[in-house]
Amino acid sequence: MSLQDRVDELAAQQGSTEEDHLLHAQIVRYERHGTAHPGVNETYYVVLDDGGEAFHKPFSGVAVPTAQHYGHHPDEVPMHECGAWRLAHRLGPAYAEIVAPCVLRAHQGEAGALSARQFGLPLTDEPLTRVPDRARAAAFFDSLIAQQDRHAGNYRWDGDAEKLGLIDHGFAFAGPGQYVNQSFFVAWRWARDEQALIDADQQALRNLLESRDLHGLGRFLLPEEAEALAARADLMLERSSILAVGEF
Amino acid sequence: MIELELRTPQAGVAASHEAIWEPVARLRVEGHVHEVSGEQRLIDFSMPVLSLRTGQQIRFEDDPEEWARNLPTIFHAPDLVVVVIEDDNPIPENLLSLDAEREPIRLRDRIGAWT
Repeated sequence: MSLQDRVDELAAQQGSTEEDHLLHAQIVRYERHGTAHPGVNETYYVVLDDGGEAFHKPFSGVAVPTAQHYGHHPDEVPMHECGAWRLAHRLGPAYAEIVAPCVLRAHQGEAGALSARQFGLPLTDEPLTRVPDRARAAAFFDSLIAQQDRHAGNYRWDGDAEKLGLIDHGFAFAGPGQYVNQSFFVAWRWARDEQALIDADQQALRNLLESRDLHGLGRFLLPEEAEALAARADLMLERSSILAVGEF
Repeated sequence: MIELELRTPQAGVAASHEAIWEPVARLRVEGHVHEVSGEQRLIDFSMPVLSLRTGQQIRFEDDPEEWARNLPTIFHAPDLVVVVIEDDNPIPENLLSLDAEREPIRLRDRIGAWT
């Protein structure tokens, strides 16, 4: 299956309350930060005509050396961004509400992942004490998607709204042996000896495995990534536990 | 020596929609001496980073300058970008310009055209 076939499949699956404005609102501002680091993915700050803010990460702008160090072909990075959201959306509200909605969208001829801006503070551990159920859901989600870089700068915390927003899922859907930088929520859940799955986690995994195509992800992830996702879900159910940090 | 700035976009007035990139923190590292100004909590020295020079993980205590030099690699979303202001030992260009075989893709845009 070619990348174009997988892109077409992902595009066909898109559309939900959370995604529709990202897909259809007019882009009124599209701005790259001019002095961004050459080893970092090229990203654009986007303002939509409905006032929404988002970030566009074109396929062509993925930093090849960084992607390769994480063990991915650069074309898979935007697919992972969108795949993580689609999985959260299909797993249910407990997971969708903590993951930044993200769609595949073209702008000025450049296809890429368009991700809704999550507002709030990075680098705070407040979610762990204020919304521990959501922090536990984040650990479950990161374990399932094999998130390779969930450091404390890769989520936002809006304390007034008590909203946790996970961002940056380009380096995910990893396989055994691939690089892991940090896994903040997974490490936290293990450190508290709370790695055991709750009933909702188990049901989410059963639903995923019983779906014909891994909630649609089997149709646009690389085959080996889809197999690894199913294997992690199986293993988590078998152990009734999230996986350890870096256990892909 | 390396000096970095963290910047965040502030949406401009409705008429122009221009973003203003506001500096929120600055880090300067020279050898084992470092100085932070602005929002100090945004520089988390406990975070490991990926070295683009070696492909290995670096912690601040291992090599403060090299850690700072690779800090941009972990800020992937541009609501908080790291901008290098000055660097006297940058990562060689050949390590940053690797290429990969890419497939052209087409995606239908919002008005139905192929791009």
